[in-house]
Formats: sequence, C-alpha cells, structure tokens
Amino acid sequence: MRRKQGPGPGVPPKRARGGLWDEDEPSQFENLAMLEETEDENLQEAEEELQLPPDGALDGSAVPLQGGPPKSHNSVPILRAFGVTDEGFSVCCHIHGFAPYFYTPAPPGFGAEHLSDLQRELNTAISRDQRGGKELSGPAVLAIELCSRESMFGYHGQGPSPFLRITLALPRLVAPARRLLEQGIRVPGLGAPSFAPYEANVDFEIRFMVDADIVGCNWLELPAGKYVLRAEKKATLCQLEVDVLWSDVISHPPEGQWQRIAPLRVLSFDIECAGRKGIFPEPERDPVIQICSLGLRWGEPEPFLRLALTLRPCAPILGAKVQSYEREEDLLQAWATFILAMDPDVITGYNIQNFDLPYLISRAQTLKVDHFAFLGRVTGLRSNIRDSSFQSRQVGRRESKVVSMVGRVQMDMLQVLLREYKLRSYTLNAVSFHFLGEQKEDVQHSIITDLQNGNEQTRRRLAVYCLKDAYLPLRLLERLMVLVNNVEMARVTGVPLGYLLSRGQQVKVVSQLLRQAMRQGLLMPVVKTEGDEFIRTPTGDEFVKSSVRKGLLPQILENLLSARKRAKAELAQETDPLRRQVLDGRQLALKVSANSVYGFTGAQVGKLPCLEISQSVTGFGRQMIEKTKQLVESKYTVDNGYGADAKVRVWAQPAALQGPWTAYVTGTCLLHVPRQVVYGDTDSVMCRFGVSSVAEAMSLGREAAGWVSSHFPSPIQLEFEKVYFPYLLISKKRYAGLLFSSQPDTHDRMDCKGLEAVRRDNCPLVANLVTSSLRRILVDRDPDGAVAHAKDVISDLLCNRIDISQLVITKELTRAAADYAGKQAHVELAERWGSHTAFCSWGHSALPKPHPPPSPIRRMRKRDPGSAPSLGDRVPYVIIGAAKGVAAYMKSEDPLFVLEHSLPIDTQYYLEQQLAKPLLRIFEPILGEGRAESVLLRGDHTRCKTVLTSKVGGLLAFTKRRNCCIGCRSVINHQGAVCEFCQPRESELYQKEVSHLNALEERFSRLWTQCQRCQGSLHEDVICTSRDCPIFYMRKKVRKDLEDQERLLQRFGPPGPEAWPGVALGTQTSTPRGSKGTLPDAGPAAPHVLALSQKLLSPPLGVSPSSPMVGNPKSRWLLGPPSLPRDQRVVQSRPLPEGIFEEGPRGPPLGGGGWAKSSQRLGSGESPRSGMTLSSPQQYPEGVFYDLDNCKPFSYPDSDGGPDSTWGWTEAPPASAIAPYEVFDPATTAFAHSQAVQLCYGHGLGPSAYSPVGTLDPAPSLEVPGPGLQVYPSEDFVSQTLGPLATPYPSPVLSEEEDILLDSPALEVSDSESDEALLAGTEAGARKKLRLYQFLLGLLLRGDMRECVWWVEPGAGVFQFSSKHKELLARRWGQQKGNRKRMTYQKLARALRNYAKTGEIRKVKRKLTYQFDSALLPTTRRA
Amino acid sequence: MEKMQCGNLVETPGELLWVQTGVAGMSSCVSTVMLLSLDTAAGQARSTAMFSEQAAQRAHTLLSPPSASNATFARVPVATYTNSSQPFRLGERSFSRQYAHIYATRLVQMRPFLVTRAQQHWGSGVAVKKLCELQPGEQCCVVGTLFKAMPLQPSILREISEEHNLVPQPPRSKYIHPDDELVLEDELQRIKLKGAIDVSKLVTGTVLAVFGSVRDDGRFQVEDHCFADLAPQKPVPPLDTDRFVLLVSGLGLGGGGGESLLGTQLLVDVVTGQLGDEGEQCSAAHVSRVILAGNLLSHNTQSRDSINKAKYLTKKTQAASVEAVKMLDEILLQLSASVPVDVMPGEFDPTNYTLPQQPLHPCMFPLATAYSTLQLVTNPYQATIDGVRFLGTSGQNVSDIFRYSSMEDHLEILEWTLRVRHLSPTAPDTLGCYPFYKSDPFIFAECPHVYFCGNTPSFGSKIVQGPEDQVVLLVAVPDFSSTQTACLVNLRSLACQPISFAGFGAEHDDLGDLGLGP
Repeated sequence: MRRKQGPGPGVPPKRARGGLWDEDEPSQFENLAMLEETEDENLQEAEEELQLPPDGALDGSAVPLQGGPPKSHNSVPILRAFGVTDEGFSVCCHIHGFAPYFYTPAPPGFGAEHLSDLQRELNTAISRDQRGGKELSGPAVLAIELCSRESMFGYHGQGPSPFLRITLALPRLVAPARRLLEQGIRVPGLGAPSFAPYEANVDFEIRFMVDADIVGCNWLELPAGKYVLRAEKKATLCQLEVDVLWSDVISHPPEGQWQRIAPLRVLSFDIECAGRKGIFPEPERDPVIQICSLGLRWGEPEPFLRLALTLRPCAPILGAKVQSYEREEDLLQAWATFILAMDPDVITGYNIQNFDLPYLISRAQTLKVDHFAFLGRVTGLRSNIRDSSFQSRQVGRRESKVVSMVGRVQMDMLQVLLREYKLRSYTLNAVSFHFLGEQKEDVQHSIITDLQNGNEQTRRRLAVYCLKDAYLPLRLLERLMVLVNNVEMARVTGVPLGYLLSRGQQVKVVSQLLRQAMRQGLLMPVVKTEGDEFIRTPTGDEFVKSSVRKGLLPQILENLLSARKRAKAELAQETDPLRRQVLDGRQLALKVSANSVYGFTGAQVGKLPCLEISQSVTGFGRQMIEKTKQLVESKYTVDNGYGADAKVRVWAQPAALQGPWTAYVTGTCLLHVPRQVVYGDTDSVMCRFGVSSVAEAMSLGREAAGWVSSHFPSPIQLEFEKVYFPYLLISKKRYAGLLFSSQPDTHDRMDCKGLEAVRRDNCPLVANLVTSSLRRILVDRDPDGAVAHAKDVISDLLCNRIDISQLVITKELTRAAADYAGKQAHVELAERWGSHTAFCSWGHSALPKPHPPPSPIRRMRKRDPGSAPSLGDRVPYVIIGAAKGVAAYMKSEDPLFVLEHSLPIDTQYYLEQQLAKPLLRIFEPILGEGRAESVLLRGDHTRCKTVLTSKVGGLLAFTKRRNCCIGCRSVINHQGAVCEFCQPRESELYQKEVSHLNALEERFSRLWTQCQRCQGSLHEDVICTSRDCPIFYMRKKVRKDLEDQERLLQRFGPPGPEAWPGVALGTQTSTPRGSKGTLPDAGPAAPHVLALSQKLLSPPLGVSPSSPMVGNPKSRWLLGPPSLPRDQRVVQSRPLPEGIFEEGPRGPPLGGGGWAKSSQRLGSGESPRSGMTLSSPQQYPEGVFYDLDNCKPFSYPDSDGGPDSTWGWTEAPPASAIAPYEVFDPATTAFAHSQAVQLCYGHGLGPSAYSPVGTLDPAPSLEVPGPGLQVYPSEDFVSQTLGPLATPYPSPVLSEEEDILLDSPALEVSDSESDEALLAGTEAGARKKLRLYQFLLGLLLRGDMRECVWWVEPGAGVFQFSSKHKELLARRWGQQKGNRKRMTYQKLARALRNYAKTGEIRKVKRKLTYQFDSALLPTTRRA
Repeated sequence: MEKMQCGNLVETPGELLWVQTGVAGMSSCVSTVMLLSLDTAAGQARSTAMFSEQAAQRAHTLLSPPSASNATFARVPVATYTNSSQPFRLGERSFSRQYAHIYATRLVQMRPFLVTRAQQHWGSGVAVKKLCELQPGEQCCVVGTLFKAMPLQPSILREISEEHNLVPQPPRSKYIHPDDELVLEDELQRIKLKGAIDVSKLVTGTVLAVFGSVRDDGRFQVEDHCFADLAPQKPVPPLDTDRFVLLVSGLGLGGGGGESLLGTQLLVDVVTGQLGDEGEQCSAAHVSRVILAGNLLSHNTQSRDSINKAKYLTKKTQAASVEAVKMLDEILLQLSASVPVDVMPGEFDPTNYTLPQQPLHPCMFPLATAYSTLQLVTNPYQATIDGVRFLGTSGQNVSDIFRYSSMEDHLEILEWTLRVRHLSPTAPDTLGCYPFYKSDPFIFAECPHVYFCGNTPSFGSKIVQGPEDQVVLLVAVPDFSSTQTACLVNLRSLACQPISFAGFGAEHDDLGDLGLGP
C-alpha cells in the first residue's frame, strides 16, 4: 500500500515549466468543490489507497508545521480542492497537513501529565479495534492537547473549562475513537472515565473549511513559492495539479473583486436509448443509441461545443459535430474519452442523476467497456452507482441514485426543480414551457426505436431532438440562475457546492455554527446537554440574556441579516446585469439560510435539535403580534382622531371578525413581522384602519409599523409590507386581494393565499376558474361578470367542452400502494397501469425519464415495466363516469385513454367535488350563503348537458344507433338531417351547424399547424406526444369533434353535386338539376314557396331568361310528395318495442333469436287488447325497453296515402317493415295507444337523452335482465335510452347491426335537455331504469298482481297495497331491480314516501294507501 | 317581389340619375333618390367594345313614348361552359391526416417545374441538390419549401396560455418583422437562408429554387432564386361577339347598412335588365354569366358563439346569418331567373372554413335553387367559359399573403401567386386548409386566362405575360359592400372594366344638401 508522505521542509517550490504560474503573482483558483471523502467511508478508503506520492523531491521529508500534526510516517489525509483558474484552466490542489480532530472535556483532575498516557491508551485501543479490518501502519492518534473551551449548548455561566483536543491520523478513525472514548478509556491515576465527544460528527471537509476559513466557491490564493506544481505522475486529469500546505492557502472572502464567478466549464448531455415497444429501456438489454453533449463556458452566451455521438450513421447537423459509430461499445468509449478531454466542472442535464448516468454506467458494464466508468477527475477512480433515499416531511420519500464523480458537480435540473419549484408537471417540456416559454417536441420512446432503425435522416431527426434535450437544461440553468444562486449559497453557508444539491439543510447550518463557535471558543457537543436559563419564553423555556452572553444563533442571524441588507444595498446600486445576478442570488441565499436556522432548531432528527428554541421563537412571535394588535387598536381609534377604529386580524388566532365583505370596500394594511422573529403561521398581522384609499392605508400602515416597532426590543421590527385593496377575506388563511406594496395607484399583482388558485392538488380548471373569477371580482370589480363567467365554465364542463387537460388531476405517488391507508385514485391508476398499454405513452409523460421503478412497484412492472409511474412521479388522471356506486378512486383513468375511447367524464364529480367548494367559498360573500349555491350550481346553465356514449363498454355492443332530427331530436328513420316538420327550418339548422363546423375547422388548422411549426419541420408528421403541452389534448379533441361535425353535416347531403359534369352544363341545355335527384335532403319545398317561385319564373320585363326553368321544379316534385305518408312514419317511430325492431331494413324477422321470448309473451293467450297495451312501457315489468325519444308527441291526424314509392332513399320499403307488426296489432290501435303512453310518461320521467348523431335503440335480442347488468358495469356510460339487456349469444340477425356500430363514429356527443331531470334530482344512472312509480302504475293499469295492489279511486290515482300480499309485490320489485338482496315492503314504502318530495306519489291518510300525482295518470284515467 | 318603378330620369354626362319610389323587399330603409353611375374605366379605352359603349347605342328610348313593340333582348348565349373545379370539390372529408403530406406532395409536384426553371435560369449544367447532399462551399441549386420564422405571428399556443392572463394580442394588419428568418426545407432537412433573398416578401409554404452555397456558419448563402413561373396555357378560341362575365364579390348582406343593399339591388337590376333604357337593357343582355366571388354575407353575420359561448346560452339562438341568407336567397332568385350565376363562398359565408371551401348548401336557398342557372361552386373556382379559363378565389389566399409579406398591392400578390405557380402557398400554415395528401390542388396545373381574387379593397386589373407567351388577365375584384363596384370581363378581348353602382355612398354623404335627407 502506497502511503502519502507530508511535504518535506525547505524544498524550494518548483517553477511552473510552461510559465503558466507566475511565481510573483499569486495564483488564484476557485475552490469549487472539496470532494475528498464526501460521505462514504468506502470511497474515502479507496482514495487513500490511490494517493500517489506527489513528487520524488518531496518524499520522505516531513515538514514541521505550525499547529499541524507532528511529523509521522503514518498515512495522512490529503484534501483535494478542485477548481478553475481565472483563465479557465482546471486545477486540482492537493492540500496537505490537515488532520481530523475532535474535542472531549477533560475529566476532573486531568492534567498535562496524563496526555501521553491517554494517547497511548487510545492508540492501543484503536489499533485493537481496527485489527479485524485494515492494518494501520502508524499511530492512530497523532496528538492530544489540553485547551480551554466551552460547550455551545446552553449557558453554563462558569466560563471556559479544560477540554482535550484529540487529533487523529485519518478521518475514518474519528468514529471508533469517539466510541472508545465514550465507553471509557483507562487513564493511569484517573480510572477509566468516559469522555463525551464534542464536534466528532463534523465532516472532515467542513472541519477543514471552517478551520481554514474557506467557504464554498470562493477564491483561494496560493502564494508564490508555497506550492509545488506536479508535472508528471498526476493524480488527476486536471490541467494543473499542485501540492500545498493547508496553512499556506489564502482564502479570499467573496467580496469586491473576489465576488465574480469563475469561468466554469458546464457540460449538458442527454442520451437516447432504443427501448422495446411498451417497455422502458433497461440497461441490460436496450442499447444506448445517441449521446448529445453541449459544452458551455460560464459567462459566455452560446455553447462552444455541440457534439452528437450516434450509433450507426447519421446525416450531418449544421452547427453541430456528429460522430457516428457502428459499435455501441465504441460510442460509449468515445463519450467517456470526450468527458475526460472536455473536463467539465459542472455536469447538468435533465434527470441525469437517476437515469442517464446510471444507465450509461450499467450499460457499459453490460457491454464490458472497461474504461468507461472513469468519469471523475481522479485518475483510475471508478464511478459507481449507489442507491440513496431521501426523506423529508415536505417531499415525502424519494429514491434516487448517486453516481460518484469526484471533482465534478452534478447539477441535475430535474432535482433542482423538484427541490425548489412546485409545479404540476416536471417533464422537461412542461418546465421549458413554464420557464422559457419554449416548447419542444416530445418524442415517445417507442418511436425512438423506429427512428433509430430508419435511415440516417431519421437518426438525424433523433439527434436534433436529443441535442435540444441537452440544450434546454442549459437554458434553464441560466434562466433560473441555478448556478449563480447555488454558488452564492455555497459562499454564504460555507459548504462545498456539491453539498447543496446532495445534502439537506443541516450541513449548511452546522457549517455556519462551527464558524461562529470557533471564534468564541465554543464547542458543539455531539449529544445534547442540559443548560441553565435566564429569560422565560412564552413556551416556558428560558434563555440567557444577551447582556450576559450573546447567543450563537442570534449572532448567525444578525450576520446573515446584515449581510443581506448589504447585498440588497449593493444590488440597488449595481448596474452590471451579471453582478446584479450574483448579488440577487446572494441576498436570496441569505434569506433562505436565515430561515433554515430556525428550521434547524426545530428539526426532529437533526445534528443539534433544540425544539425549545423553535417553540420559543413561535411563542414570541405570537406574543408580539398580540401586542401589536393591542397597540394598534388602542392608538388608531376614532377617539384619537382617526377616521375609524382599526381592526387587527391575527392569523394565529381563530378568526372572530367582521363579515369578510367589509374588506372589499375598505383598505387593509398588512404588517409584516420580519421572518427571523416569527415563523410559520404567525408571521403576519392584518390591520384595517377604516380608511378609504390605498394611499391613506399605506401612510397609516407605515406610521403604525414604526410606532409599534418602538415598543419592541431591537432588532425586532415591524415592517409595513403591503396593502390589500380590495380584499376578499374568506376565512383564516384564505384570502385574496390586490396587493399594493409601494405605489398607491397601481397594484403589483393579485395575491391569493390558501385559495385553490394557488394549490396543485386540484385540476387546472379549478385554479383557472378561481383565478379568473377573482380577477373579475377584484380587478374589474365586476361580481356579476364573475358569476356569469363561472356559469359559462360550468356549462362548458357539463357540455363536454372543457379541454381535458384542464381536468387532469395530478398527484404525486409518494408511497407505494401498500403504504397508502385508503384507496387513492392516482395510486389505483398506477396499479392498474398496463391493462391498456397499447394506448398509453406513459413513460415519457410522468417524467421525461422515469426512474427504474423501485421495489414496491415491481408488481406493476410485471405488467408494464416501461410505462408504470414510479415513486415521486406525478400521476395525471381524470375522473370518468362509471356505474352508480363505484368508488371515486376506481373512476380514475388516463386522460389519453379517455380521449381516444370517448369515455364520458364524470362532470358531476368535477362540479361537486372539485369546483363547488372553491367557488362557493368565493361567491358566498357576494351572493349570500344559500343563493350562491342555487345560482351557481343549480341554474339554467346546468340543464344543458352533453353526454358521451362510450365506444367501449358492454351494452354498446348490443345497441344500434338511430338518427335524430337535428331540429327537434325526434327519431327519424332515414339518413337525412331533419324530420319533415323541421324541413322548413332546414336552412336555419344547417347554418347553425355549419358555423360550428367552420369554427372547429379553424381551430383544427391552427392547432395542427402550430405543432408543425413547433416541431421545426413542415414535411414530417408531428410525432410529439407531450402531454404537458396545452394543445396536446386539444388537438386530439378538435379532430374528433370535427370529424363528428363533418359527419353530422353530411346528413344534410352534399353541398351541390359531388362532381360537375365534364362539359355542357351550358345554359342552353337546360338540364334538370341532375344532382338533385340524388340528394336525400332535397325535400319538397313548401307549396307556397314553390308557387312564388313559379310566379317569378315568368321573365321580368324585357329580358327573357335564357333558360326557362319551369321543368325543374317539377322534377323536384318527383323527389318527395308534398305530404308524407304520416301514418307510415308514425308507425315506424312509435315506441312500440315491436315497432322498433321492425323499423328499418335491419329489423329481424319476428320470433327470431333472442327476442322470441317477448313475442311469445305477446301471443301467450292475452287478448289482443292487452297485447296492444303492451306497447306502453309500464307493461314491461322487467323494464325491457322503452324508447323515450319515441314518446314525442305526434299530434297530427292520420292522413291517407300509402308509403310513397319515391321515398326511395329509405333503405327498405316501410311496408315490409310493417308487415310483421300487423300480425299482432293494427297500426291504428297502436297509434292511439301510444298517445296514452306519451301522456303518462311525459312528466316526472327521467330526462331523455337525445343525440344529434344518433339514438341508441335496443337491439332485438335484448331480453333477460340481471346478469347482463352485472357483466357490464359500464352501462352508465350510455345515457341514452336503451334496453338493458343482452343475451350472451346475440342472434345472428344482429350481426349486421354490429357492423353498423363498428362503422359508427367513435365519439358520440349527445345533448340531453334534462330540465325535469335535474329538478327531480335524479341521477344519470337512474334514468334508464324503470322507476318504482312506473312499475306500480304499470301493474295497476294492467291489472297485474291484483291481489297485491289495487285502485281505490282510479280517477284520482289512489291505490292501496294488500296488507297480506304486499311483501310479494315488494319481492317482485326487487327482482325487477335486479337486487340480490331481498326487497321488503318496508324498504319499498320508504321509497314511496320519498316520492312525496317530488309529488309523484303522496301518502294518503289511510293504511297502505297512496296516490299518484294526477299528471302521471294516463288521460283515460284522469277522465 | 315588387320591382322598382323608374321615372323622372335626369341624364348627366357619364352619369345617370335615377329617381325612384322605393326599393321594396330589399331593406326597410327606403331611399327615394339614388344615383347610379355607370363608371366605366376611362383609362382603358380599347378597340373592343366596352359595356357602356353598347349601352349608348340606344340611349334615348327611355323618355320616348312606349313603343308598341316590346323589345326583348335575348341574353347572349354561352356556347360552352365547363366547370373545372373538380379538384376543389371534396366528397367525404377526413381530418385524420396531418399537414405534412400537403407540403410533401407540393414539393414533389413542384420540383420538376422548378428544376426546369432552374436550368433555364442558371444554365442546364447547374447542379440541383437535396439539402442533405450539400457540401460547404459548393455552389449549387436547391429546391425546397420556404418556412418563414416570424416572431409576431399569432400563435394559438400563446393565446391559450394567455387565456388565463387575459393579455390580448394587439391586432395587426401585417405580421412581418425585421427579425423574420427564412428557412428552406426539403423532405429531410432544413437550412437557414441568407443573402440575396427578400425575406419580408416571401411567405411560408412557397416552393422555390435557390442558387448559392452553404457557408461555415451553417447557413445557405443565396445568390439568386427563381420560382416555377406561369403554367402552360391553352389558347383562347376566338369569339366573334362581345360578351361579358360580371365578377362581384363581397355583397356583405346582413351588414346592417342599407347603402350597400341599394347598390346590390341596382346591380341586380342592371344585370337582369330592369334598369335603364333599351340601350342599357341591350347591353345587360351581353352579360353572359355572373360570378359572385365570396363574402356574400357580411362579417357581422359571423358569430363564433358556438365555440366561445356557453352552450346553454346558444342553445336557443340561431345562427346570425339566417336573415342574411334569406335575403341572399331572394337576390339569387332575381339573378338566376335571368342569368347564369356562379356563387362562390367566402370567408364569412356559411360553409366550411378551410380551403377549398365547399359550395354553399342548396338547402339554404329554397327559392333560388329552383333554377338550374344558379350554380353553387367551390371557393377556388375554376371554369372554362366559352373557351376562356377562369380561376379565382374569394380572396383569402391573397389577404393572408398580404398579412405575412411586405407586398402591399393585392394585384401584385395575385401576380406573385401566379409566378410561384401556387394559388395559396400560406395554406395550411396560416390559412386554414384541408389536409390533402395525394395532391395539392392549389398548384396551377394549367394557366388560366382570367385569374381573379375577390374582396380586395379596391379594383385593379392587369395583363400579365408569361415566359411561354401566356397571357393572363388579373382582376382584383373589390369588395362590393364598401366600393359598390363590380367588374366586367369581356370574354372576347379579355378586357376588364369596373362598374360602379354608387348611390349616396360614403363618398357623397350629402343627402341633407339635396334637401332630400330624412
């Protein structure tokens, strides 16, 4: 084992051969990172072994150093400081002579004479302890000294006491030494006392930096002659390498000329892997195909280097260097060589820490590229991957990987953003759009493989994409000033740069604490000790007064605050933008540091927790706020000559205050108690001075702040912060207002606290609606406009017009599913993931590169290892409609899946669970408590709904779609657009629809060309699948909407001829309008119109029309008769179930297949009369089907005229359709009866749902309730009337309909004008079911089950249950409903009594007697 | 419908003043005096007969006693008419494709033309290369599609993200900016252009050939460029008589003002021979066809409520265009009863948005569709009338280029589109366009003889000659509602003249001075 020796004495420093380092001039280099033994014992040992003797000249001669360890031949630690010189050369500075040490209080009676004994004993103990492991070649304990120190913890009052300073040879010996001392070491003459360690848990690097007064990222000066330049046998890859004694390093505080940031070399890179379809790339199997790197010299605007390394040839990219390799091994090796050659100080990228770097290293291992993993700066030191997990209360648990890279700082932008910004989505695309206003193309990883397997052009496209991915993190780094802020933070807190990203807040405070303590001879204990008290705090703790001794934390805080004040003052004067950046970063770092001091004392698990301090701080804060309240309220009163009594709100206390609306009309001043005093919840005081203008409130606020401050001890100051006007105060910690901070005439911004506008756990719709409503209320002062806007949005929501991206809820998967107590929507979705992977492109959306899933997600990984979200990912989902009673968490679904399968959104959920509360909270103060709800959630705007019918889902397979008239929504039996009664309005209807089409087309073209522009290519298809792009879902939806609208318009017939005749449509030829004959919609014009046009046909005045058109109108007559065979149509569209089956050409023959049963019943001995009554839906106790749409009134009388033969475009002659029907029922009787049906149905029925595209009709084979329902729980997706049931074996005749269905549009949009429905409060799911009163009415009308229920007064609708057989009836109802549990009369009666609310059924004051509402009764009954 | 009664004619040189009793059926605002001026293009005296010259032949019959023989003028027959708009007629439309195809097919279709032109321009030996074959410094010619990166271009992305911040983008008449950059793109790559090329003039979507070389900074140094220029043209068969085609655009019905209605009715009456003496009637009979080039309805009838407004508010409302369409039906009825009419839809008409706009639906014109003389046609409309090939649009293509290029004159833009051999290069980028994929119908397969665009701010016409001696009459058909001007094209001579129906329009708003004001 080679051991490093201390530098020899008297050796003249070597001159730099190249003259790079001028001896006369002090050289500076930036102490960028002190990366020796970071956190890891193994790493540290590995490095020790690799220590090389610096130079032969230095070897063997020890240097007597002042204050340093005595000469030894033992192994000693060498610190390496990596950095760059002002000129941009990378430097490694080997710092010698610093040894780790710690303190322990000297036991009573311990004198200088015991030192050597103790040292010997300890030495022996340590070497004994170490025996199992490594042999030590020299003494473990270098020195033990006596000194006078004091514990920093608590106040002892007796001043410094004797301490022992124990210096050890190696940092790794500190822990055993400490343990042994704690256990007790035998000291001759003193027994075996136990020694309490002090400062033994301080990191070695921090120890050194504190002692040498070096802070992170400051400038170090190596005076000429004090260092030795290594020319050969360099231990690192740095351009310059020097050896120096630690005491010779001069550290410059980062001020003045030493404030600038060194020209660091920043590398940003991104890799692409060729994954297999649906599987996230795994380094063991999937090759790395491209690595793109960008190099930037800090301070320069443009990268100096763009390099794309690709597997297989790639077309050249202008402005970038492309190198292609045939073997992946060569590619990896080339990149590793490149890294060493470029020698970056900072490595950035997006999710490099958890994906790119580990992937590269694992891949290199798999491919046995042995020379790959040496990415650090130390020669021969392999970079390895470690798993680490980071847990905090704020972010939950995050699992991550750490790739060691000595001498380079990894600044993963994803980690930085996760740490510092709260965003809805952290994909690179979303982040770029958010911060840079720039979109990038998001290529799904399954496409990447295709691109790679294409030609050199597709690989070029991939490389361009990859370069952009590498470029964006670099832009973010600059824009968000990540580097600047971190450098400043390192300087302020005194820790190396790398620590800021890899470690928590504590180390920063410890570093500051040690620095402060060292100046005062205080020591930080390893364990907490008791102390004495002097000032009693509100929480019952006591502190020593500053007159006795100033506390450490106050000093740190004072330093920080005064430094921040200085930085801010400098910032105000500074004009140079770069220096402004630095200063701004510094003041920010100072602020954050000040805050973390408080957090440090309150941390539950920490280096030095002291909850008393944090509690006391909070307590004092409350006290001071209370005092402020008293002071302000006593001074600013009417009696004292002020306009109104001031009111003060203190957030810490439960609010018991005036109505919130007052703030809307008066100015409110918010006073801000500076943060160092008051933390958390209690940092603001709000005063209402009762003045009417902002300017007054401001001046009073400032005055009061000064006046109140005078009552507080220094440095506590009440600062005037801002005025809110108007101010909408909703409840404690929930308010919104226009914020005025300095200018009384212009507001700075709208400030919202605690409102949904700023929270992330809702869907964006909520935040946007709340924000825009608040804006209207506060900025525009237009509450009415806000109400109208909210109503519009609610209506849009119910009409399926909200962009789905607005409805996406994202929740972070912070724990594995098993760890969640209750079922949660996003977890559920994550678990279910993979059931439809074909439609999902998850991987790149949740995070640009999801981490390989940790163990709890393995189950999911089995199903779809590539795309399942992993811990820490934000899972996006929407809530879809499902059957009643399905728990909300089961209704979560992937937005894209929803869009592609037109699953209906659960709008009710969004309205009630998402929007209602936040909206009511805002609007209740304006509209009044009860009114807000009725206005916003119950108004007209909630009655117009669009209900999607799912394309997937059980029952849909057994239904067929029928067209509705676009005008009146009645079912029509032809493919045209309108029924003949709406024919006169056809033009009008067409215009409305075409204007919608027009609007959709414009949107379509704008959205898709935008994507085209964004992807930077006109000739290639858009393949971007960025879910975070605001137009991603939009462009999908508009395409669907447009296709549907186009299909709807097609029903009007083509506009004009599909093709113009090639020649001779000359005027002379006077061809009858050839196209007309084929137009299905060219219904006859109304006779009077024709008459008019005929009149006009006579040539006016002198000019004779060259083509008399008399013949043409005539030809129109042929198209359709002036009056249609109405009876015919009526029959076809009657709600008779038989009729439905028979209508149209696709009706199955009677008795065929599944519906044989119903025909059986029809013919089963019942009288023809009762057969007729069957057409009323009530007579289907099993609720087989009743077509509500067909219950539209058809009030015209029968007219003569048989089926018109020219009604040619109905696909089959109606007559044939009728034929089987007539077997059972004459058309006339059916017609008569259906009117009755309509009457008893028209009211109180659930809403009928209409579809402009089509109505669903039950397919013929529908029969048998029960099992079908359970099999297809998704039945609620269909809001249309449909007969519930499906036989498992659809009859063969159905096949044609199924084909039709397959051809049918993917997205069904139907409007349901559900006025009655919502009033009656029925739910969507209940609509199509037979309701109890219908069931009863049916029984009564039919006279079924007469022994159970009978009419008492048929005319008045009074009926009575049999006390004997009522249970039988109840059971029947239970079967009807398909309940598994037995229905009882008790339950049935309860349900009946519920009808009292709607008045459909009332209880009559007689036993078992109830009464129908007269409106429900058929006319015959009423009469 | 009642017809206007005429009387009390005062004739002034060059102008005809009509006093009439009412314009029933046209609008509620009844004006009693109107001025009809048949402004003929004075500067365009040609050997062939102008419309007004024919009218002057029998100018004095109006004040003479009614003659016994009721003169009847047979409308001039159209010998041959072919509607060649088939490429613009779409049957089943599908929007499942993306726009990349139209660019790709455009480039493929245009490349042979451009290669030929490039060889004409820079010698047959010029190397025509693809972008991926370029070597730095090598001089060659590249054919590609232009993309103009424009910072000011309205972006729906920005609009959506700003929706919530309510920052309106200022409306602009032009979106050009000095920072605009041209990028040339072929199937595989793109390259930035610099050098001898007018960035502000060119627009996205243009296919052209550039000559130059790649520089070290990765840009293409353009030395020269050329377009596909005019397509081949068929010769016009000689006609023995004068006959006219009337081009009108921008009737702007439903616009609210009664002024344009008056002009519209006058126009209709002139064409149908209801106005003027026998001389005028006779000349009216020479109008063999009327082409209405879009924007029959006014901008005011455009309501995008269906997308922007909540559905519960628009449920019961009807489209804003309903009344205007009824009026249009009546006008078309009058016209088509007398003369063949081709109706092209325009930007504001009730049909689809994307080009090519499909014909207006006949169901909207229950009255006028009774006549086979009424022909509802597509928006780029192409027809051969008596051997003269007409091609025109309702003006969206030209006004869109106007917005994205520095060219100011609509006629100039019209000529430019002819030169680049593409009707509407900016579609689909900034102008809505159907996602074609097999062919780009906007490429001129054949050079028309009359090439017009509707809805321009003012009248203009020009004869353009192509490299293969093609002769094209360019017509900028002005917006009728604002200019009260239509254009007459003489099929025999390919001469064009504006015809103005100014009542008391904007230019002389002096009803009060005449003591006749309301």
